[in-house]
Amino acid sequence: MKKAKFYPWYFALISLIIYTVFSVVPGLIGIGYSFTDWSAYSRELHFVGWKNFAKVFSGNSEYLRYILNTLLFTVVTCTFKTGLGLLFAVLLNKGVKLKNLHRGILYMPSVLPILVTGLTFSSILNPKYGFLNAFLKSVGLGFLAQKWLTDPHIAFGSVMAVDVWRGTGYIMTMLIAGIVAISPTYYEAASIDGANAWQQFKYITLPMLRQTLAVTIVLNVIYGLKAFDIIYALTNGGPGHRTEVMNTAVFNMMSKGLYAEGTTISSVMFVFMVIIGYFMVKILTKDEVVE
Amino acid sequence: MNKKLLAALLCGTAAIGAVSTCALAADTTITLLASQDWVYDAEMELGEKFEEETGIHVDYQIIPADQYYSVLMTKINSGECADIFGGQSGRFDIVTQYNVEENALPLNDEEWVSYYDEYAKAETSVGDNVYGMIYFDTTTDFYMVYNKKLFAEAGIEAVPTTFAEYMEDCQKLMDNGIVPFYECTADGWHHVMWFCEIGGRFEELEPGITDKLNNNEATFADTEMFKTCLEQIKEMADAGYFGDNYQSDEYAGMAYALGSGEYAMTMAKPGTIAEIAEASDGEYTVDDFGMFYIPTLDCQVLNVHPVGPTRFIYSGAEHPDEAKQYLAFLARPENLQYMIDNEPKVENYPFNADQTPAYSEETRAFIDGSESRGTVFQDAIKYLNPQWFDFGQDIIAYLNGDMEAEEVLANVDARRADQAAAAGDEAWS
Amino acid sequence: MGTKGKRITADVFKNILAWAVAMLVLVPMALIIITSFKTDKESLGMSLTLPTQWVFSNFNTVIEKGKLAVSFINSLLYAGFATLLTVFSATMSAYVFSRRRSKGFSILYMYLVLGMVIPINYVSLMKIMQLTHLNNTRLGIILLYAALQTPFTIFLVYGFVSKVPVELDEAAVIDGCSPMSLYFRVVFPLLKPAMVTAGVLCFLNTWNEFIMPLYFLNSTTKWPMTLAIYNFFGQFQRSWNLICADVILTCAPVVILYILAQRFIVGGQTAGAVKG
Repeated sequence: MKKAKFYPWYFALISLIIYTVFSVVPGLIGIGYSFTDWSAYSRELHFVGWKNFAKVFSGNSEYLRYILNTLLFTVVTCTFKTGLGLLFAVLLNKGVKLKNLHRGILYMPSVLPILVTGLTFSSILNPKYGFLNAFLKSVGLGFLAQKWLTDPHIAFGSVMAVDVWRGTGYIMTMLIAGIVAISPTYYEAASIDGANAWQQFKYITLPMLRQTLAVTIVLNVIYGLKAFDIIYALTNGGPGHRTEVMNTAVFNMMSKGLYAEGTTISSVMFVFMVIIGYFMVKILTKDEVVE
Repeated sequence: MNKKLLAALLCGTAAIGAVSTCALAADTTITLLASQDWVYDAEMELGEKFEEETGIHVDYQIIPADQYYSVLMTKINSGECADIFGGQSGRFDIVTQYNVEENALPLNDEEWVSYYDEYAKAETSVGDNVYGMIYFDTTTDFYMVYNKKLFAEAGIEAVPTTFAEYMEDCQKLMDNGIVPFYECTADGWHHVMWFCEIGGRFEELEPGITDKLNNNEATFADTEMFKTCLEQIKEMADAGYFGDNYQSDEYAGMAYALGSGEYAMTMAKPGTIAEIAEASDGEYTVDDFGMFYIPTLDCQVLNVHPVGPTRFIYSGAEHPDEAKQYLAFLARPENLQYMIDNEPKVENYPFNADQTPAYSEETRAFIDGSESRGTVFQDAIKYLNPQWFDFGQDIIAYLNGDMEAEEVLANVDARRADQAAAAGDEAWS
Repeated sequence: MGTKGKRITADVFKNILAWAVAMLVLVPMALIIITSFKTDKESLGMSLTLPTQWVFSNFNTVIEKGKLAVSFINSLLYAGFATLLTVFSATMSAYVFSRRRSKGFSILYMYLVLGMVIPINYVSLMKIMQLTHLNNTRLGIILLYAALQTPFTIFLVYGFVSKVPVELDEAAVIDGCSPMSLYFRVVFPLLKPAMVTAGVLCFLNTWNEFIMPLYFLNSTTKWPMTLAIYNFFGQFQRSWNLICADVILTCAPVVILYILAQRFIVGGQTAGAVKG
């Protein structure tokens, strides 16, 4: 049969148009704008060459730190979500009563609006009125009480912890599906050979989960690099600029009316993400059959 | 309620059919965009009266303070703003920040302009055109508010007149188990006042500094007293005089904090005293609180701040006439009086409409007792007010040891230069 | 201790651990629920102590002051239509891409899925919205959400479509089906489970989003629930009882949907990831 005839290209038209107009075109226009002096303060646009890029990257350690923060956020949350997700997935696979209930509970945070999670935790983590410190004090662990969101050494950790709280269930769910898909015969054979739980995990579960893990990690990395809502709701980049990441920086630029600079950072991210995105998408769309 | 729900459901269903605009029951709805704390409950009550009278519904859109300007500026620049938008005024900023000549409608023909305070008018006008209506009690400013009882208990006899005295008093209060000062940096703006509000003192210490800064002949980073002022803020914070929760504390919690007797001082408008007394559950009355000058750099100058949250009518407003009507309604003498009578934070408005101000004896005495007055820096200095929150965030970084005082000030200069360049200011070219 | 004893100990330990972890999720939720029934004063710090006086009227207050009825309808409208549009168009696209694997189509597929990664440039998106006169319209928001969700949905459905045997198509073609009827009569019914999964996820994501309306919708009468709660927080910063009540009402629809559709989410979500 003729593929061109029975799978006509125009089936993809709606998606292509919507996506191109609202996602790709703004990105490309943004690159154009980053060579201008577009701002809230004047109506005229002038071409300024690489000036904005020079400004953003000229040894101004501020931006470098935002980039590092973004990477740190990505690496840390990805590691914890994947590690804990894997742990819970294995834990909740067998031997736990009501395991579906448990799975359901753990997934719940990723269903809630990130904004709501942020608001809720901003109260829970308030050093004076917050639940966490009150709880620690009530069980005699008062020395652990912290200024979770305002102590410059702790704030970023707290933000990342809330994000891990929010996202682990999601990763766990994907991994559970991966584990369930592994044929039980492998495990049966392994127990006959006398392999213990750890060995089974190491030699069966982990290798069989490779593709699923790759996907979850990629999704996590994508999420981490784009992180915004959770930081916005919890600290808005503070205390000082400790928890500032690329996206909150873009947002701040916009709020100052420095559109050209904001769009410059956006564009750098755009290009960067397209490049690494290409490889990530390759991983995601790998057609390898895992069995 | 049921009726409302039904209306909403019907609206929703209609919209499902057409995915079109959904008009509410009221004939016309005007939108008002404002930051938190700019729209008091009493104003919303007036808004209801306004609707009864005219059939025009006012839709108040309140944005948390630290996000307000990003939302406002994006909307203005998108060409899609609310009919009425709030913003700080100031003769420089209304041009450089909001570009009111393009983005707001002139209001010269409005009746209230005839009894609008002259200073207020000057700060909201460009050339001969009035663009905004200050709807905030700018007749008083933020002063140091203190609890007389707690001061007496700590053995403090007179209010401090120098920074050193102030610090001693703080220590006495601390020793007495009282947190000296309620600072609330969580909203991002309150702590900046320690610096900006003492503009009069800056000018006193270095006459001409205002003009020099505005003509780009001096910078913040190169002027020693500015650094000293920041250092004094850090000194207070490091000594624990703000309590150990100040970076999570919010302005909205001020009345409770002082009313509970846990804190002895704060920086607030005189009208706040009534709120504190109310929040104290009978523990204190308004007479238990007094005021003194903001003590950074030994300031003894009364700070004057003719600028405040202002209402502008967006040039692209969908309902400009209704919006004008609403402002006119607010400015009616009886409605100004209504706000003064019903909102403790408002003791007066910058209008000469024969309204009766609600100043307490204490406030009157404090204001009349001042020998010298000076305009606050955010009004006197170009390109300072728009970066208030950035400055605030940098100060926090400085208090936390993440930045040096010099860097904070250099950033202020850099942001001013950016803005000046964008505005085509000749002094910076 | 025998193997069996060991296993029992291990299981007991596992169960305790499972509950400990569950508590980490449940406690914050319990805090919200309990606080939502408290008085203004009691709610200052969220705690697990039960309210001395149960204030059910908090919910009424919130519905009225938080403009929840209107915003609920809005959310429903945006999430509903965006989901329908996305799922409908993305499924068709995924179908074509999965069936045609020529170089050109692979590149197009790549181009679409790349959307999962690229950041949105809100500044210049504003220009597009103005140019297309979609700013501050409900249609605009729906289209934006569709654009936002399309890449992931295509990616998700692509995995499912690959599993629908091509032989079915061939048989249908021999029977004389046109491309349209081949898709709508033969393939479409088989993709229903995939569409439910994609639809639920799309709905959840869209319901929870708040940045798009923050920038692109002006009047509060068009605001969805997430933005309404943001506005509410601005006004009632101190009243955690009301905020919590608002939180509950905002989250209820997604939580209910999640509970109802749990098996689709868990089962379907990973189909793209776990191939084979």
